[in-house]
Amino acid sequence: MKFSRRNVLLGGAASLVAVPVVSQALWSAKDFERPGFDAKLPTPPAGESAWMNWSGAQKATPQQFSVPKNVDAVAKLVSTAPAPIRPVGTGHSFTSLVPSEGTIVDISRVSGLLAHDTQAQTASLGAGTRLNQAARLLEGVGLGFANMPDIDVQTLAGAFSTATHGTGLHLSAMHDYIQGFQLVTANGDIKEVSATSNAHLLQAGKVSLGALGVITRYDLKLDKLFNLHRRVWTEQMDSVMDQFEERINKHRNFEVLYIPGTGVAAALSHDIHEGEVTGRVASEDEDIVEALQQLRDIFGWWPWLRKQVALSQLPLGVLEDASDSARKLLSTSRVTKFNEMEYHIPLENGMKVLREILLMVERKSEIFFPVEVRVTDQDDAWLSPFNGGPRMSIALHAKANERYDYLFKEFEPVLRRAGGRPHWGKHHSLSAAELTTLYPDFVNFNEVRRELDPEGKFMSPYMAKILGDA
Amino acid sequence: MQKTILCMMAGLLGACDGSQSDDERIALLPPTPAQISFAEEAMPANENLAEKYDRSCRSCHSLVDAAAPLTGHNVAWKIRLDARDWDGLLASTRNGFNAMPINGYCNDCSDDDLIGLIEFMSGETKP
Repeated sequence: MKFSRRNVLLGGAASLVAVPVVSQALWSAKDFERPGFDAKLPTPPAGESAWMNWSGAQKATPQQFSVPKNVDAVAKLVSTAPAPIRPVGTGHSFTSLVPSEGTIVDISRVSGLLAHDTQAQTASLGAGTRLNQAARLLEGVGLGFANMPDIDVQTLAGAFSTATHGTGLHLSAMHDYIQGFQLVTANGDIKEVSATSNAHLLQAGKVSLGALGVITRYDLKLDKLFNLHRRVWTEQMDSVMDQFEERINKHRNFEVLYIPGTGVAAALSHDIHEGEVTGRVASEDEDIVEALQQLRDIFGWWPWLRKQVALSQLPLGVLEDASDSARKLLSTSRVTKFNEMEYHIPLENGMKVLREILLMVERKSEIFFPVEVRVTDQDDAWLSPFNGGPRMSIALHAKANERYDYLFKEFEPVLRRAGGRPHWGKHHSLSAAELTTLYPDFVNFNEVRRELDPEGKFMSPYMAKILGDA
Repeated sequence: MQKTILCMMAGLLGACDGSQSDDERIALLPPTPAQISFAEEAMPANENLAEKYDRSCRSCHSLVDAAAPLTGHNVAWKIRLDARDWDGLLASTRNGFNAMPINGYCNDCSDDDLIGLIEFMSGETKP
């Protein structure tokens, strides 16, 4: 039976009539909406612009919002535009990386496949190219990304600069594909960066938060085009956790989505597929998210009942078994807007803290979004959360219009105690004092930043908070 | 009767008043496999619109899972146009609407560009 909002209602109806009315009434009166939530764009002063991110958590009214057409236009803009200058991709960061009351620069016109060498498995793309467009263009020349994140609408610059990742024990985050890049610095200079040119900027610039300047082109190391076999199944979370280590070693990509209040998880694996493909199947993720919210809204006051209704409707066993090109299977569409916190935990600490987090989730009845668990291999970018060793990523979500303050108060301290580093683009409360202790090369990054941008042209108040000064 | 009781119990009167929302009407008219295939490959003939469509609109309007009206799925667009008209769809694009981000990921699109893109995706022509 399909797990849907209507089935949730039907399944719970019989039980609902027999339960204490007061508890239910109290729960029904609970307001999950975040104080001050407003889905609308801000009203800018005359002559200025309005911007907000995808989730609506970040807003700005910059004096100037520019979409330069090429690298020369970017250089001219950076030389003359009011500071702070902040680059924007597609606005999928939940943190305040983008907001500026000076200038926001969107480089999505600086996009496309500029050069490629299929034999050498390399390509150069405009940094404003969105991941899905990049994957399509690369497919046309027989190349593909080794891995892709959960969604694929981000620009290359936005994804790389925030250390966006997929899942896979032996697969590093996307910025690790960078072999070189073109950078427009604060004074309008255009620098070519690679292992042989301005080499000292390479490890700083792979994950740079838009703090070193505006990156306009990436030179990437890629894979030959490949297909994957995707399996999605539900299973008791205890069983998934018991076999987690074995599965992250067995599968090329392995991911877990724990469904709050049920004891059950959806597990996803992808492995290399040879031969004909079946084609992807339509996702039911959005129906499931809607049903989970309905479960929370109606039965959240009684965890036992919520679980029984969920288990009576949740399909158990294999949900998807399909094969297709990697780009069509690794990323999905997220229609329901949300806010998110994700911490990357040293792999050796991961399972212990995951169990602790899941116990907390079970006590926090308002959480209904699945808890996402992934793994990523290490790399050597200075501000990469995966610098120094592979990590388990644990992500918690709240619907865009709902409260998420408890993520900071209750969950973040646990994730930090386990040695976690926050995803740069997802909610966290850390400032430079804490971040310095997490990254061995944090000081080196700031030295490079000050060398390139002595006046702090790219430093907004938030950037000053996380990097230490203007 | 069962539906009425369920709706009352769940406080879902708004969803159970017997009327059919635009979303529900659209859900009853899913794209055909041919329309899905068309949406995956279709591109505007106009070079300017094609470049903007490819980098902005295509990521959602060519993919069923994105829940945006598919390019070429005329009936899904017609229901929206009947409900909101051209100016309404333009405003939705500028301000964001449901899953759609502000400006539909095309911050350099003029109003004429956006109308041209909606015309291409919907198969309708603005009067």
